Amino acid sequence: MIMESPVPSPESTDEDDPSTTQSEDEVRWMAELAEGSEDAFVKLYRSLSGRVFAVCMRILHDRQGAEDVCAEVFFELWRHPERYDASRSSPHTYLFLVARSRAIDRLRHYERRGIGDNSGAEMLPEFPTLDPRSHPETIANRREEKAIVQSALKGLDENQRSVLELAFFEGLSHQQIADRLDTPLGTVKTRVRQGLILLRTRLAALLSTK
Amino acid sequence: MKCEELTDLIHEHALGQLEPVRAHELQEHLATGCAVCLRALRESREAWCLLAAELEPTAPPPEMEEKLLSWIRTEKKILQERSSRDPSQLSQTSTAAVRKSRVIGLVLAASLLGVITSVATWRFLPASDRPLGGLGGPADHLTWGDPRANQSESRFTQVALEQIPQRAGVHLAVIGHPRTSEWHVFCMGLPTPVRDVTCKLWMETSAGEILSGTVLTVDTQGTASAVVKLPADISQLAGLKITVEQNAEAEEPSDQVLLRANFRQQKPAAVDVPTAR
Ligand SMILES: [Zn+2]
Repeated sequence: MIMESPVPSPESTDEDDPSTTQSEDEVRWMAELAEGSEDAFVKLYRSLSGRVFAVCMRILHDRQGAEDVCAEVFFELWRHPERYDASRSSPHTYLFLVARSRAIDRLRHYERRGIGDNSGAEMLPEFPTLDPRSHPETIANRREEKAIVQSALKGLDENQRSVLELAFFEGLSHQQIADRLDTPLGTVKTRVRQGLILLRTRLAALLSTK
Repeated sequence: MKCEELTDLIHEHALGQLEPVRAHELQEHLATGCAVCLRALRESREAWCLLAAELEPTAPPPEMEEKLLSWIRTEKKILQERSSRDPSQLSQTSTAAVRKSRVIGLVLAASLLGVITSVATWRFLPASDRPLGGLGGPADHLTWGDPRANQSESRFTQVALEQIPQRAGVHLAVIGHPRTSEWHVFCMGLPTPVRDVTCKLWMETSAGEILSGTVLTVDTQGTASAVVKLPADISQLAGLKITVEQNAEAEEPSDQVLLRANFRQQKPAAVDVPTAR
């Protein structure tokens, strides 16, 4: 049950309805977007663009590329809201996965063209991290969500964390991770499996103790 | 294979990284409606995305929201103009989402390029094969496998494209015939000719390969047309893009992308065929 809203905000983000959570808002906005609501699009954009952009930046380490991908992802969301299937994931997960996949496509393109080492830390951003238009309480909720998730991630050991990150942010298959880390394929699979289980259970535990 | 043995495959599939053969096997199993695996897949997606949720949100530049809204409003305007010109087009559909997905795919090409493409198509077609309803009629919306393509013996087809403009105002249409490998590309909104700078059109296969680029000779109005050779099996193509090149001989596209478009594949069964007028 908890996995249906992995980053629920325990507090309200909607002034009118104190029981509404971030994920419920997203689901409602997605439904309105499917009916062509520009307003719902703007709400989704303001709510999720910071994290979608962060995913693009984390993968590409290139601001221009990340901007292109981020704009593309949201434009596609506007054009094809019907591609979101509520039975498959929450709206933010859907958007993160689309952004991740597009950014990795672009990363592969950079690699094919031999565009240098994009991992230089100097290319990482140092700019405002939250949309200034967000409500203060939304910002507070995000901080809280993030603290919960970070706490869940702390439960991972270094090995589990690195395989998960190689798969998610670098788009490597289990086999490619095994080659990269010079580790048996079976070990990589185990680390992915255990890492994901740990994330889920720790997250569930943290939320239930709140 | 037992569901528990699919766990690792599901974790890779959640990220779209499973090799095609295994992905196909898993898809077949999921298609049986196995609730255990469908749930596991959903949970896997959500768990993976905790890695994204952990990142510090980074605000994109404020212009991005304005840019998106301006794209959206331009499209809406075109849609409205289009529907007022041909009300029957929209009466075929029910929801806004369906309307958008059916019409917008080509709306930029079909409307903004309307004059160019209709003139060009007109020239290709024998009189008896002229598209039903002319501009704005169903012929504008033919997609691969669309049964309506068979209504006319000529079978000229406008390729259904999903355009992702990288720079406002760049649009294109691709028209061809399944029996030839030549496709006619019409573009507008390109940068008008500058010395030593060339626009090139590139085809991308679904495997991510770039097929050789075609130089677009742009006129002073920013329009260009070209004939490109495409492989017989067009289903292998994922999309195309137009770039600006400093070197006309460039064998790989530059980063200066003016427009990208994905080919929209549609199964015949998924198309609801409007009645011919
Ligand atoms: Zn199963």
